[in-house]
Parts: sequence; C-alpha cells; structure tokens
Amino acid sequence: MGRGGLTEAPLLAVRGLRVWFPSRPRPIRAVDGVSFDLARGETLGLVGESGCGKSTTARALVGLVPATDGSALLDGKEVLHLDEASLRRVRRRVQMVFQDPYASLNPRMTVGNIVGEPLLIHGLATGKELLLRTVELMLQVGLDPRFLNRYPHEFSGGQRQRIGIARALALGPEVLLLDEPVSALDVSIQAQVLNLLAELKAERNLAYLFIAHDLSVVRHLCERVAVMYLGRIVETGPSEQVFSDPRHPYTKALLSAVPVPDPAVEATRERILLLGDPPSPDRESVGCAFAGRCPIAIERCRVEDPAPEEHEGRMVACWQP
Amino acid sequence: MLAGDTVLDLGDLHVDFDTDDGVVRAVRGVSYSIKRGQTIGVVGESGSGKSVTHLALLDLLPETATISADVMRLAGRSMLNMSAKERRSVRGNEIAMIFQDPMTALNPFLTVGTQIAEMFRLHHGLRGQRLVDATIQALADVGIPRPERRIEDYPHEFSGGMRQRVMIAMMLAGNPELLIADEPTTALDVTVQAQILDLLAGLQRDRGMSIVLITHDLGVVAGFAHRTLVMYAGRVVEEAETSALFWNPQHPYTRGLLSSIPRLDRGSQKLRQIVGAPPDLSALPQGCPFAPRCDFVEDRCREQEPLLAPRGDGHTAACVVTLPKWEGAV
Ligand SMILES: Nc1ncnc2c1ncn2[C@@H]1O[C@H](COP(=O)(O)OP(=O)(O)OP(=O)(O)O)[C@@H](O)[C@H]1O
Ligand SMILES: Nc1ncnc2c1ncn2[C@@H]1O[C@H](COP(=O)(O)OP(=O)(O)OP(=O)(O)O)[C@@H](O)[C@H]1O
Ligand SMILES: [Mg+2]
Ligand SMILES: [Mg+2]
Repeated sequence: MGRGGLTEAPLLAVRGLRVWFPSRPRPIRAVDGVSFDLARGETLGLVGESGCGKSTTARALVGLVPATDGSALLDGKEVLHLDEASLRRVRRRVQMVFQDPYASLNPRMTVGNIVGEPLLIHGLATGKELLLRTVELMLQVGLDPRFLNRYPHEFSGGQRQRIGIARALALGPEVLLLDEPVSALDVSIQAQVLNLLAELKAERNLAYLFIAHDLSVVRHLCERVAVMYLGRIVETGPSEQVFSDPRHPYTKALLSAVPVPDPAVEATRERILLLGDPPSPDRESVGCAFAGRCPIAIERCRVEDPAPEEHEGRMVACWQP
Repeated sequence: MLAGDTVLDLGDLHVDFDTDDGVVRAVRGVSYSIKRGQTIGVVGESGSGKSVTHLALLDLLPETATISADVMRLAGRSMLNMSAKERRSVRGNEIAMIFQDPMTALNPFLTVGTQIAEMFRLHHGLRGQRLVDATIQALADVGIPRPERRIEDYPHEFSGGMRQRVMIAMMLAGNPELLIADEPTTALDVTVQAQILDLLAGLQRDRGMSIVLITHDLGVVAGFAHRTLVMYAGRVVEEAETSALFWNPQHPYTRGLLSSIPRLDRGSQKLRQIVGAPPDLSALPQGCPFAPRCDFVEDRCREQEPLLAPRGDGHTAACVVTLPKWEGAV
C-alpha cells in the first residue's frame, strides 16, 4: 500500500511533532520533528535504538507528556495541546498499552476492576452491565472470566499483558499505541500476545502504532514501518520494501545487526558494524544526526540536515539514499 | 578426546533454594562439558536455571542455596574436594563471568582505569608504569577509543556498551580459560550488541578461550555458538551442535521455541505458540515438566520424567515420544 494510493484521509496524521524536555545546559530533544500517517486498520511499526524517542512520541499523542510543537489530527481534529476534558474524549479513541505488564497494572485492584475501570470512569456502564462488558473483554483477549476477582500478581507475564490489552480495548478505541507490548515477555509467551494482537486487529479494524526494538517482531506484524534515530524518522515505507531493500544507512546497519535464528543464514550474512554509540539527545542539530556513525557520510552530511524525501514509495532522510 | 582438552566438566549438578514457600528446585541434574576454544550457547525459558547453574560454579549463590554435584572439574582439576581457599584461587584464574548489567558489577566511585588496574595487580602483580600500560592496552583491546584518556573516567561517563567492554577488559586481565557471559547484550541495542559479539568472537579466536553464552535470543546462538544447550525447568532438555539443533530439533520445547519466534528474513505468518506457562519449581508436577504445554504429550509422559538420551552425533534430548519429522520453523 503506497502513500500515493491512499485516497481516504488518514485516521491519524502527525506533523512536525516536537517534544523537548527542559535540561541544562541544553534541552533534551527527545522528539524533534516527527511526521507520519496512520490509516484505519493499519499497523505502523516504530523502531529505533534505545532513547531515540519512540515512547515519548506515543506518550505525547495521548497527552502523557506535553508536545512542544507540531500537530496530530485524529479524523481532522487536533489531539495535541488539549485541556483535560477534550483529552478524555480523545482517550476514548486512542489508547496506550505499556511495555511492562508488571509495573503498569495497579496491584491492589482485581483484574475485573482493572479491565472495567475505564467504562466506569467514562460513565459508560455500571452494575450488571459493567460486569457483562468486563467478562466480554476478558473473553476477547483469551482470559478466563473466572479469574475476575484475582489480583495481577497471580498472573503470568503474558496474562498480565492480556489484562492491559483488555483494559485498553474497554472504550472501543480505533487506535492502539502499543509501547513494546511483548519486550518483557518470554519468547514462548510473546507469540501468544502477538497472535492475539493480530486477531483483534482483524476483528475490530484497529490501527496500531507498534513500538518495538525487535525488528523481527515488527516485520511480522506491521504493514508499514518508520525507523527513528535521535528524535527523527529517517525512513518510512511498506515493511516488505524497507526490510528487503533499506535505503537509509542507519536502517541498513540496524537490519544487518539483527541476528537470524538460522545457523546457515548467520554463517553467510554480512554485518555492517557501526562505530561508536548514538550521540546524546541534547545535541544542537547541525548536519545529519547520524553523520558521526555513518559509514558513507560525506562533507555535506556534517553541515546540512537532510529532509525526508520520497524514494520509490518511501520517505528517506539522507543525502545519498 | 584428551583430558586436557576439556575445560569444564559438570556432572549431575543440583541447586535447591530454601524459601518461605518451600524448596525451589532451581537446577535438577545438569551435566555438560566444554572443550578448549569452544563456545556453548545456553537458551531456555526465563527461570529455567541458566544463571543459577553457572553462578553455582563460581560460588556466587546466597546461603539459602544447597549445591551438590557428582563432577565439577575445571581445567582437569576437581573442585569438589578442594578447600574454599583453593577453589577461590582456581576460579579466580580459570573462570570469569560477565553479566547483563555491567553497572552492578562496576564500582561507581572508582575510575574505570583503577578498576582494571586492580585486576592486573591482583593477577600479575604489575606496578608502576607497567601497570598503567597494561591497563591502557586492555581498554584498547576491547575497542575503547582514546584509552589513555578514558582511564580517568568513572563508569557513569560510559555508555552501556562501553561499560560492558570495561567488564570484559577486567575479566580478561586474569587470562581465564573460560568466560561465562550471562546475557551480556540483552540490555544493549542491536547495533551495539553486534559490536560486543564481534569483540567476543575476536578475543576467543586470539586467545583460544572457551565461552558459555547464556541468552534468550536464538539468533545470537545461531551465529555464535558451536554447541547449544536448551534448558527447561532446571534441566537440560536438549543439547546438540548448534546447526543440528536448528535443523533437527528433538525436543518439543525446542521445536516450540523455534516456531514461536518471528524472523527478520521472513514475512508475516501466524506464529505457532506454546500454550500455558512454565511450571512452579517448588511444586513440580509428576513426569515431564513440559507435558502440560506439549503438543505431543502421551500418557507415559505424565508418569516419569524422561532423561537426556542420545540421538546420534552427540545430539541428546529428554523426550520419549517419537516426534514427527521436523519440517522447519512454520
Ligand atoms: N520526562 C523526561 N525528562 C527528561 N528526559 C526524558 C524524559 N522522558 C524521556 N526523556 C529522554 O528523551 C529521550 C527519548 O526517550 P524515550 O523514552 O522516548 O526513548 P525510547 O525510544 O522509547 O527508548 P527505549 O527503547 O529505551 O524505550 C531519551 O534521551 C530520554 O532519556
Ligand atoms: N536466591 C534465590 N532464592 C530462591 N529462588 C531463586 C533464587 N535465585 C534464583 N531462584 C529461582 O531459581 C530458578 C532459576 O533461576 P535462574 O536465574 O537460573 O533462571 P534463568 O534461566 O537464568 O532465567 P532468566 O532468563 O530470567 O535470567 C528460578 O525459578 C528462580 O526464581
Ligand atoms: Mg521506550
Ligand atoms: Mg538468568
């Protein structure tokens, strides 16, 4: 699905999103001009190294951190820079699921209360109706409703992540922002949650912003992928294209570093070893942020920051794509 | 095989923990050996005993742990009948271990240089300029740029990947025969992970060291380990040459693992999943601990726990069921 092929307006259109955190001597530019579209029913993967701004991007979209600049239109309506009442209305449509299923659930609430709470808060159901809808949500994510009165610590990691997902689904959102929903899970449990996400999406036509550092997981689940480096998106496009023929040198290095669980593939694969570590996010932006580690950087890269440009169906921010 | 060829020989290792909820049987009869210059990968579910097995080798377990073994030989010497002091000295010289989070193993109040130098003083009695030179060289060997300046820095001034390099430099100072790396790259980004694995592979080539690499990432094992052990509920359930393990897995848990991971070189398809969760080690069911989650379970699996049995070519697996031919992951 190319960008040009979309006739419908995107469900969520993010433009020039900036989130800067105050810090001395210079602010931390956690998100520094991020733009992307998310269509109804689409899954967009957001990948990149630790600290590049993935979580902050998602948190800004649900008002958990204030956006410094930029806009995000949900069906044409602004969702950034809102007051508390308007934020609540947005939250019915955009929900976030967090990485750590151990830390993100209130340990003193029963599973039933955790899952049903959003319905109660938004005044959408009480009493018997609330109970019924809670049971329904639990069934949808494959949790046994008999566990309604148990507490989070009585569940395994995968089950806890299901609880988090059931809660996020309570208000019938159209967009789920999934922040590393399987990273804390064991490999054998990870597959259970990934399959559940794929099923829910098909049933409810949900759009996902799927944040992950595991590129294999992203390739598995996402139709499109956006690669972030130091607060910017450096490459976006259909997963198949980006994974089989990456254009940005950072995407290339990132993909080449992912180990493949097949000794035959591993024995013959070429690795691009990057030198050094990612620079600190409080840097002043002069030139391309990746230039210092880039194996093909030229003089221009150090003085002029490349803007994203269209290249064969995807956007790439590089002077030599 | 020459006796001197085997760096580590472990037979029937058991580790129990005394806890308020009863006895946790964390390691239940682990046996394996490593040859000089070999890399062994250890994979398995979280809580399956990968770390505890190796912490036991280094006497790094708390007092609540009860350790027993039939064989525990390091570089040809049995460690079972040694005094605690003898054991410490053998261990200090022959085995070194690095961990997932190097920050917990480094002293935040001492410079990186001081901490590496201490190892050279301890192991080789170096002093003065020779000590400084050795320290700088050690940092250079693990790929830290401008080492002569970086020795003055404190650990917090280093990135995660650089701290792991510092840990590796410290461990190499003793010229160990065996390096145990417990999830050394789990906390690191993939591009930094690739740098560290590349470093370890290079060091192994140059020094003929043996490495035990504990990881949950089958991809890392595929590219790095000669042999691989798969652990489940405190036991080794399969061991083989790495390529044989991937091409012809003989334990249903190994098969489940291989089919449940998405692969970067493949598009999307539904993942096979292992249902359920691993067992409680303080209340293990009778029979095979994987039986409740197993696709191939038979009645006899619930009666007796299967032992590791040979499958030819040094491949062993702990499963009594005749499995269908493996058609590859998915
Ligand atoms: N509340 C905050 N105050 C100051 N700095 C912050 C804050 N939240 C995040 N940051 C910084 O912003 C940058 C981006 O952080 P973010 O959590 O978005 O990264 P990420 O891509 O999600 O990383 P990870 O993969 O490790 O989760 C980091 O440098 C982080 O330290
Ligand atoms: N000090 C302790 N007291 C009681 N139980 C312990 C102790 N240390 C470890 N265990 C238990 O022993 C079992 C094996 O733990 P171990 O740390 O070896 O697992 P692992 O395979 O390394 O897992 P992971 O992949 O999560 O690191 C676990 O069930 C753990 O809870
Ligand atoms: Mg994050
Ligand atoms: Mg461990």
